[in-house]
Amino acid sequence: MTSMIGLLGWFGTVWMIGIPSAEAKKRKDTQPCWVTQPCEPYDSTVYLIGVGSGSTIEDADAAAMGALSRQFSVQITQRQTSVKDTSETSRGSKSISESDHQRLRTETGIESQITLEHVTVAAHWLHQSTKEQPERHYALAVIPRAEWLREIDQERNTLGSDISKLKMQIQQKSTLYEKLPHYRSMLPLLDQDVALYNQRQVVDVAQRSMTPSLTRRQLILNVEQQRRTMAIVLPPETPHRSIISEALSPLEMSIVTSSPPKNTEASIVCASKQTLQDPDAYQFIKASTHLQCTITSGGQVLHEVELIGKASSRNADKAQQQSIQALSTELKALYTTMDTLWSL
Amino acid sequence: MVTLITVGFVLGTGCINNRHLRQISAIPTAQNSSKASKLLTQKHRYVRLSTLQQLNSLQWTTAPDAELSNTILTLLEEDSEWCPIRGQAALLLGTWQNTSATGAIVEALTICDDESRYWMLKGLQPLAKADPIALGTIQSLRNDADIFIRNEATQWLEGQ
Repeated sequence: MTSMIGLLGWFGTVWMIGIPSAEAKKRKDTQPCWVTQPCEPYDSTVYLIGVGSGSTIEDADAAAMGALSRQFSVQITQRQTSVKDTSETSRGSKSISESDHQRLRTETGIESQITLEHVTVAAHWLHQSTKEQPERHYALAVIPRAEWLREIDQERNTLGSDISKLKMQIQQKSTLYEKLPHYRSMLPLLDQDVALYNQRQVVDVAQRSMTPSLTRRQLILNVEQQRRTMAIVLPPETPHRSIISEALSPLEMSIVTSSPPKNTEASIVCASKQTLQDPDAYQFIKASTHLQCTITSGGQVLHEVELIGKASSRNADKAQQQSIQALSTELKALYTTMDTLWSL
Repeated sequence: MVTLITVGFVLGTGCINNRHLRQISAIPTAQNSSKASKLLTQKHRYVRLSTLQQLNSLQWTTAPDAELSNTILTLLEEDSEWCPIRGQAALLLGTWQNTSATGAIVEALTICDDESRYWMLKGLQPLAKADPIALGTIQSLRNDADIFIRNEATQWLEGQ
């Protein structure tokens, strides 16, 4: 009897010890809720969530980060990625190959224009191997939305004040030429502001981000408009004035003979000389028309251009005329210079 | 110090120019035609012009290869190309009986100086047998504004 009781006690002890380990095993094997959809404590209104899977923990982590960053790249590039892998398949039971993981990482690198901040890999889960499938790791990556929003706002505030400073400096300058370096410095800041705005729209569930005050496109249009209102002074005594005016016409700036008080942006002063060579073995006379022009703005010399039109004829007058014609082709260089000097 | 730098610069640029000229004078064999193609795409005009003049002086009756022909045709067709280069290109393509150059020659004839147009007329002459457009253009050049082009066109047509 005593031995019976002892035996029962022994079985009871073994049973009692066995209960928790079986429970633990069951818990470990049970698929957590986050694998299929966002759930407590990582609510999607509070966190940005990315789930990924892979044959190793590192792959699963990378895939989860990829799933997070792709939310931004899709927003930024406004297109869907054609790669149907980790983040999608992780929610099903299919496994993906190593090459697919590699592809994902590469694609993520190309598409994502942002750096993920405050990312935490909050949980891992191992899907045990079965007869049909090898074992598979799952990872849950999360970013607290509020923290990130605070940082974006801070960064945008700093950018905003930098942009305002540049705007002030621009206002103090009288000519477009003097303003252009400040406009050029502004361009990357505007791009950054737009990028942060796009990020914020993804992070903020309510999408209440302040729209950028100015975009690259708006700035370019603004400068183009200012360019159209500016005047270039080309004195009436300028040699070959008509062909110079013709060459500059695509600039869409008005070309005037004297300096009006306000909108004078630049002056072009030119000097010209012609040379004729003695007839060659075929009796051709070579003529050259040299044109030297100085471009100034606000009393400051910006650029000097020397252009030569060459032509050859058996008649000296015709050779000279044709060298002026050839000069008109060369004047494209003057247009290019002006265009470059007054472009962003 | 400044003198040394200046002398160095002058010698340096001289060497570069000389290198181009040596390459141009090394064209005479057809095997070197790929070198000619490279020289014809150089940014300096004098290199392109001298290369074409060198090729013209060789008096090859056919093009050594299609690539070289195409490069020269591109120069002829390019509106912004210097007229003396277009003139030499026309002469060369005409000598090589490249009838696909006729259209470009006819177009260049309307905008270039007299000497360049003269060489273009010379380029049209070998094409006139095979291409009626080339022949028609030469016939119309009998009334050209330039007396020398008029005379050349008339004399050539009378000799046919």
